[in-house]
Amino acid sequence: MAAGTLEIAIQPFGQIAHGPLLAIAAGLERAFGFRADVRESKQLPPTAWMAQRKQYDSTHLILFLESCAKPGDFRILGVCDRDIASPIMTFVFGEAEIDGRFAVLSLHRLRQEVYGMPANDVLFCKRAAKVAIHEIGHTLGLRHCFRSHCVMYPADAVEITDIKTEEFCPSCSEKLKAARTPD
Amino acid sequence: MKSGAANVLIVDDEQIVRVSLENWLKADGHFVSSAASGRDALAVINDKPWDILLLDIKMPKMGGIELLQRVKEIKPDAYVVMMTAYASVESAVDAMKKGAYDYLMKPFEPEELRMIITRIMEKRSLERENLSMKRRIDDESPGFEEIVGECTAMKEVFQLVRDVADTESTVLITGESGTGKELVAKAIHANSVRKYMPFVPVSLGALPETLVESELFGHEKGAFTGAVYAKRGRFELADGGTLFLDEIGDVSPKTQVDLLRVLQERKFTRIGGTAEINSDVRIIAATNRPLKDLVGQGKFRDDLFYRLNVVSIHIPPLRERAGDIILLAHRFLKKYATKTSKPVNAFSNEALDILRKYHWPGNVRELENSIERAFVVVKGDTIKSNHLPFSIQGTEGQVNTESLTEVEKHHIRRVLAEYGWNITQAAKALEIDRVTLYNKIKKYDFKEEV
Ligand SMILES: Nc1ncnc2c1ncn2[C@@H]1O[C@H](COP(=O)(O)OP(=O)(O)OP(=O)(O)O)[C@@H](O)[C@H]1O
Ligand SMILES: [Zn+2]
Ligand SMILES: [Zn+2]
Repeated sequence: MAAGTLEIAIQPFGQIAHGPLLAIAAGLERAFGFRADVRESKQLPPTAWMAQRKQYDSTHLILFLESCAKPGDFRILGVCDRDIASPIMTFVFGEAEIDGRFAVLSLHRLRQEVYGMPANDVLFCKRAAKVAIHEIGHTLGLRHCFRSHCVMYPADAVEITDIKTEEFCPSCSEKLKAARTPD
Repeated sequence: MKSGAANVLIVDDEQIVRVSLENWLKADGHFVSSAASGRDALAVINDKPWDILLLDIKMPKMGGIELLQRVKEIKPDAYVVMMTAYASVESAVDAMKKGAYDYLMKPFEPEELRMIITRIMEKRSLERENLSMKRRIDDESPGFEEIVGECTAMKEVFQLVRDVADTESTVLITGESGTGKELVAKAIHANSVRKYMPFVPVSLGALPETLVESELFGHEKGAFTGAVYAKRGRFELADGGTLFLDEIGDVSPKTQVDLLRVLQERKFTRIGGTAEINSDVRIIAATNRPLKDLVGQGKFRDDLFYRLNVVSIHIPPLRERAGDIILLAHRFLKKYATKTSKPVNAFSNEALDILRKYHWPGNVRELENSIERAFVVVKGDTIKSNHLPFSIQGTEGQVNTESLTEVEKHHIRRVLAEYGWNITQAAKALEIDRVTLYNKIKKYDFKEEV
């Protein structure tokens, strides 16, 4: 398959506004040159709900994505607007299979309102695109990178997401190129 | 990763926890394996030099605390981090008393885990440094005492070995066959921080092409006909240590590509397998062929050549190390005197002369073989010229003053030794029949030396 025709499926879970989804699709196309296709939204699987913590289980969602895959999907990114956490960590913006097919992200903590500030849609969409590029970068084999402007910098707080750019540093770009050269 | 990639083993009975930790740790650049029970964990505990073990406290059958104790019995220095739910803080404290390094309360902040790993990796690297310091103090140059060499060229080799040993650099050793390339590779290993880990040699020239791949990378059960068991390859066996790739100049283009890939990515998959295996090996390669020329002729990949040739050590042929020939001869004299319990302690002057003048195409190995053979025929305490193999005696050899019987006796003995006491072959070489040979063996009272 030629790189140009590869497709990333964006699978929304639950109610999600169109704006951030389009921002994510555009971001992925810019970063990787893949086509991004936004699918019909699906219900969040109730089995992923962690009642005690009032959060959805990100690892569970990743495993669930398998059932949403269509043949030919190169990578699948699940997107939800509810707070997610891995079963062992307090929260995550996203999670991905390294060198795998599936990744998820949550828009919840990317909103200014969550931190008691006035809404800022432009900033919100920028953050969503960065997190999406970061997670899909993982599925292409990239690990965290500690050059602070690189999109692969591990951001555990939005302030860090804002500092980093949506670009890959030269070293990560190199690795990405190598990963995408078909063998 | 901020502080070097760690080899992490996760032990948790819940699949979702294993997967989620794996995703997170791999994202940070670590190498991760996981086990679903204490039993599975113990089965792989010796497979790798694990940097960190992450154990869940609450598991059915063997609980985390019991596993911790078992692990500590096998590997007292292991860094074990316990994971516990809020309800079991007490058992976490108990675990610390039993030797756990730290504990994490679920759910934890990502940064907490990152910090624990950083701290452990810093300690690990400190320990490694201390180990190499200690080594510098308590033994001067392990691995060198075995290597004889007083000439300038060999002294330069020794200096290079010392300089390069403690680095992680890939080394290419060149030199004719039998010059001691493997010995030098071992000396590098023995002087490195990896010295307590395995030194794994593999002779690439001796293996048929079809076996090279499985020998290097291993295979899964059923990967090809005859693969009845899964097998670990040399890259896996050498994990943590040094892999010596001998006769690298002989490998096929296909194997060159395979090797290049592992050297670049430091990971590989077994034949017929899908899991990527990470192996922390230091590579030393050797060749008796002019690799640079092979590159020029397009027979050896230049990218692989440059990867291997980070540091190169050339060992000159024995004929260019005149002074060393006699030193080596005496070293081997002692060695075989001990081994055969023969009271031999000297060479005659003529014998020494022959050794000095010969051009030694087979280098040190040929010299050693010659002396080993001389021990078969020597009587008394001195190795004389006629005890040395004919092949090295040269045309201007001395007049042999032995009687005809003596000569026959020596000759038969040599031939017998040459053919490992295979009577049929020896008789053929001597152009006599087997019965005659048997009779002569009886007459001279020869016995096979073992
Ligand atoms: N300088 C030396 N001092 C003592 N022994 C030596 C020395 N050099 C070589 N030897 C001995 O000679 C033999 C051949 O050495 P070694 O196997 O290291 O050579 P090599 O160059 O790797 O040979 P090849 O290219 O055929 O694999 C070994 O038994 C080794 O112990
Ligand atoms: Zn990440
Ligand atoms: Zn980067």
